Parts: sequence; structure tokens; C-alpha cells
Amino acid sequence: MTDPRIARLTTTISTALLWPLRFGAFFAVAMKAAVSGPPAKDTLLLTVRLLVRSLPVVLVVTFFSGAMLTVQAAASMASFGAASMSGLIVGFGGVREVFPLLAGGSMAARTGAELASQLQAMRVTRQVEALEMMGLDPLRLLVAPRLIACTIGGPLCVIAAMVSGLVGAQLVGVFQLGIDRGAMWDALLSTLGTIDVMVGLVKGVFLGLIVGVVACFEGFAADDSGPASVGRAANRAVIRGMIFVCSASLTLSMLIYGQLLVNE
Amino acid sequence: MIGILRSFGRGAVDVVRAFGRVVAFFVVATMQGLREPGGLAAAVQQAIILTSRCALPVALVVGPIGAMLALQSLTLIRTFGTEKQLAPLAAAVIIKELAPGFCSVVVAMQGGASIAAEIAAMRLAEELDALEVMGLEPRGLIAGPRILGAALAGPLLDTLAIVMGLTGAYLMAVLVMDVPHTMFIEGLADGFSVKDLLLSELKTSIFGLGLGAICASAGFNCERTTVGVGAAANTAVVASVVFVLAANYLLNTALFGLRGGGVQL
Repeated sequence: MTDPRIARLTTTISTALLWPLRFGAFFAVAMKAAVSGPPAKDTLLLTVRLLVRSLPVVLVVTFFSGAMLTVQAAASMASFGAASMSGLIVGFGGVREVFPLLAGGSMAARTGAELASQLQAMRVTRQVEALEMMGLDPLRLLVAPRLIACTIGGPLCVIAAMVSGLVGAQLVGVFQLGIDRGAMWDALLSTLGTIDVMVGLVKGVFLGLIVGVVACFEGFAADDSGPASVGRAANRAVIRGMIFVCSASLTLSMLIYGQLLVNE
Repeated sequence: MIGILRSFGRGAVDVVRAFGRVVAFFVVATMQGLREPGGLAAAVQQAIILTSRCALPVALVVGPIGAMLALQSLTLIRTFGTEKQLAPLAAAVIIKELAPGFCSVVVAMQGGASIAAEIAAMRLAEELDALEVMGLEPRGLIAGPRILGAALAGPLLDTLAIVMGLTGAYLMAVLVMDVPHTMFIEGLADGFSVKDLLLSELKTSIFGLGLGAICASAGFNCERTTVGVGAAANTAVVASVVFVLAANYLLNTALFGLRGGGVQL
């Protein structure tokens, strides 16, 4: 007679160990399906839907984070007597790291949850099996358009996040902290170059893709059933999406900016 | 044109109304939760559940962010040749802003969603109605401990986030970017004071109260369908993430004064 707690522990550990393998396998098949040409109309509609659902959240979240960072930075810089220095810091740190990261997080919270619960609901109501019965490929019909939509929507959300964050910082700097309008804007943009926008676009593509893959995996391939599984799938998609977004953002920054640092 | 304006106006009114409902819910739930016999013990129990559920995600999210901060600060700092400033800067930014902010976002995503889904499932299974029939107050019994639990779990998770963030920054700076080990360790303490630490913990506690109230009230007011449970969890997550960032801005403004630097820390 084994202790049920030990049995539970071993299952937890083995599923945790197997998870990366299953996720990797799903990633490979999903990418293959995405390349093989998903239905164009669905892809377009899903992209529009992603933007309509996620962009407002992205804009609000980054607007406030820009505002918050400006207040904090101005307070930290107050001892040097240069409040407009805060613009430099927010422009640099915000555009390079914080705004793309929060854009990814907002996408995971909104679109990731939605995609996962959609797909899991299709699983629960056996619509996926129905497609398979008819000889259609659910990966190509359901997963691929969602992946493409996320990959297109990601960079758009990141760029929107950068603009919104800078606007938040500018408005707080000018109207709350009383920094000169031109000086604040110049400080915000002073450290930025085209390269930062390019990196933002690259990051957006990868973060969007990751949010999409994680959400589709949690909704489509995760081992879970019953009506309550829809909520659980959404929950996992959000939190795992957020974790993956953070790690991916760090990796991309290291690859791109770390390289620049060495070359300088 | 009028139609667009009208829908905007309606949206704004809806937001205000939802906010009012959450505030009313928060007051009732926490007051009654504290008045229930054993209310505090239940809150501690919820805090433990929430902490164990969120610890790993918080660590996995804030660790890379600390590393990222070290990397980007170095790109900025190395041009001035003042590597010595890295550790104090990293400590200050992580403790004051990144750890409490991102820790609360993760708690909203993981813990908040589970609070909302749990309570919504109770609503769906008519368990909350059963409590009411028995003459018990479900808001005090179910929502109160969860809201207070989130406020208690906040500082614990914030401490973990600070440790993980600093570890991430250390690993990036010392192992990858070759900043001297002793320079980093000795510089850490220059970046913050005990007051900063306490403020950081207090912030997460306040965010915990807020997101607990938002998520619990979303669960209480959900539609009584399976889809409604999922929708309640999702709305709760999005609303509490927005709340955390907006509240963070307002708290910073309150702390540092409208003009910035009002309070010297």
C-alpha cells in the first residue's frame, strides 16, 4: 500500500519533467502547420480580434507604467536637481525593456487566456474530434491561424506600447512634474535610435509567437478535461505566457544588446 | 458620431460603476470577514495557499527581470565608466519599483485568477446561495479571508521577488558581464534604506487588498454558466493588472508629492 501523497508527488514531478518535451513537440508541429498555409480569412479575423481585444489593455497598462516610472525616476533624481533626467531614464529603460515586456504580459492576460479557453472549450465539446473525424487537420485549421495572428499582432502591440508609455511619461512630466515640454520630450527620445524600434519589432514577433504557442498548447494539447478545465487552461495560459515572455525578453536582450556592448 | 460618443460615455459610466461596486464589496467583505470568529486564522490560511501557489511564478518572472535590469544598466553605465554605481542602482530600482510591481502583476495573474475562478465556481454550484439560506454571510466567510489573505501574502512574495531580482542582477552582472564580485555585493547596501524596503512591502500589501477585492467581487457577480466562470476569471485578471499599474502610479504620486521629490527618501 503506497502513500497517496507519494503517488501524487511522483505524478507531479513526472508531468513537470515531461512538460518541456511535450511543449517542444507541440511547438514543432504547430510551426509546421503555421508554415503550411492556414485559412487566410480566419487568420485575418483573428488578427483583428486580437488587436481589438488586446490593444486597449496594452495601451492602458503601458500608459500607467510610463507615468509611474516617471514619478519614481523624478523622485530619485530630485537630489541631483535634474528632473528632466527622469525622461532619459524612462525613455531608455521603458522602450528597451519595460514597455515590450508589459505589452507581452497584457497580450498573455487578454488574448492568451482567450485563445486557450476557446480551444479548450472546443476540446471539451468534442469539436476538435469532429474535425478529425471529417479528415480535416485541426492544427492547420485552428492552431495555425491563431499563431499567425499572434505573430502579426505582437509587433503592433509592442510599438503601440512604446508610444503609449512615452506619451504617459510625457504627460506626467509636463503636467504633473512641471518639466518643460520640449526638454522632457527631448530627454525621452535622447537615448533612442532606429535600432530600438527594430529591436522592439523583433521582440514583438517573438513575444507574440510565444504567447500564441503557449496559449494554443494549454488549450489544445494539455491533458485536462471536464467543463472546469476551460478556466484552468486560461489560467495556465496567462501565467505560463507571462513567464515565457519574461525569459524570452531577457534572452533577446542578451543576444541583441549584449552583442552591442561587446562591440563598443 | 453621437453613437460613438454615447458608447464612450457608457463605457466610462460602466467603469465608474464597477469601481464603486468593488469598493462597496471590499468594505463589506473585509469588515465582516474580520468580525467572523476565526476570520484572521482563515485569512492566514488563504495567505499560505496564495503564497505557495504564486511563489514559483513570481520567482521565474522577477529573476529574468533583475538580470535584464543589470544588462541594460550596464550598457548605460559603461559609457560613463562608473560600474561601481551598478549595484546600488539595481538594488534601488528592484526594491522600489520592479519587485513590488511585477510581483503584484504575477499575483493578479495567478492568484487573482484562481480566487475569481474558485468563487465563481461556488456561485455556479449554488454553494454561496446555500450559505445565505443557512443565515451565514458568504461575503464575510468566503471573500473576506481571501482579500485579507492576498494582503498578507503580498509582502511575503515581495520579499521573494526582491531576493530573486537581486540574484538575477548578480548573475548577469558578475557571471556574464564580469563586474567584480565584491564590488557588486558591497554596493548593494548603498542603494536602499530600511524605509524603502518597508514601503515596498506596504505597496504590495495595498495592491493585494485591491486585487483581492477585484477578483473576489468578479467571482461573486459572475454569470451562472460554465462560460461565465472563465469570463469572470479573465475579466478579473485584466482588471487587476490594470489596477496594480494605476495604483502604483497614484501611490508614487502620493509618496513623492505632485511635483516629484516632495518627500525626500
